[in-house]
Amino acid sequence: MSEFDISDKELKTLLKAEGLDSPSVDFNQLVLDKVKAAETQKAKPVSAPKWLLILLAVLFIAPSLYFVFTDKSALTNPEKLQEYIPNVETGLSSNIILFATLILLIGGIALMMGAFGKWPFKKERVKKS
Amino acid sequence: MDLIIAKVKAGDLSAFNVLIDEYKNMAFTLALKLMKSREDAEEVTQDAFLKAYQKIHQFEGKAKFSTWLYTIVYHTALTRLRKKKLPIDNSNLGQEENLVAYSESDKEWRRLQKQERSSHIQQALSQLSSEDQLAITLFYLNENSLQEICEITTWELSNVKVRLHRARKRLLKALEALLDNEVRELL
Repeated sequence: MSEFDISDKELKTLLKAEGLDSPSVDFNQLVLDKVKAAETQKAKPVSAPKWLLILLAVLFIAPSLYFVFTDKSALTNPEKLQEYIPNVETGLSSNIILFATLILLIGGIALMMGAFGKWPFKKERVKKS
Repeated sequence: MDLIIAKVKAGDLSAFNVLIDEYKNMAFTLALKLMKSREDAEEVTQDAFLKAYQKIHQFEGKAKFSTWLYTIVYHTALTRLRKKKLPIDNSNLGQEENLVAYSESDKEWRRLQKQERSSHIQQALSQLSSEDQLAITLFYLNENSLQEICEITTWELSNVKVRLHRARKRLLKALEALLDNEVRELL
């Protein structure tokens, strides 16, 4: 009984004759949609602008230095702490002063953002095909 | 092809569309051999193309683009199989020893028209394990070299040779069994 056999060449020809399987008709579009979605959803690395880092550093370091180089007992004694706070008479209520300070702070931040040209939450441009 | 790949690297999606057109059928065929379901194979192929686009800057052109792409397809399929906890089908390993020699199959084979033969080959192929099908598809259908099959599958060269030899043997045995059944039905 001879063993059944076919040549490599015939095997190749027959496999090729049957052809390849094809994915769905809209395969290309589905892939391209996935690519576009991945591109737009790509997480932008969080990078704080320099001015924000400097501002945070100043806000953190300044009071730290203040307390390091002044009498530390002031931290536990509110009356003594009051001595270090300058008493400025403006004739305005404290609410107005706080509000004005807040506006100045926001305005300052906006100015710095504009000056450095780095808006941290700007939209990422989507590449068009 | 180099120009198209350069365009894709620059973010040109229409160039990428050309690449998809060129390779989607073979990529899908490979995924189908491993996944055994058209739905899963389609998802795997889509994900593989997405990965290829995202990592295209890593393609240096040392190997053929197709080899690089099919490597991604193969590994994406394996990852999907692991996630779904589906075993890689190696069910027919070692079965050739149990197969009986069939007498009339050779005559029946010669009687068949080319188209019928081709259809029988496909039927026989579908009876092989995923990895045997993959080896046969890459070597005979896509005409990849042994070295390229090593790159795609990360199998050792000796493993590729042995697997191909055994896969071919199993394919012929499966074909023989199909033909023998046909002869029996005719009698």
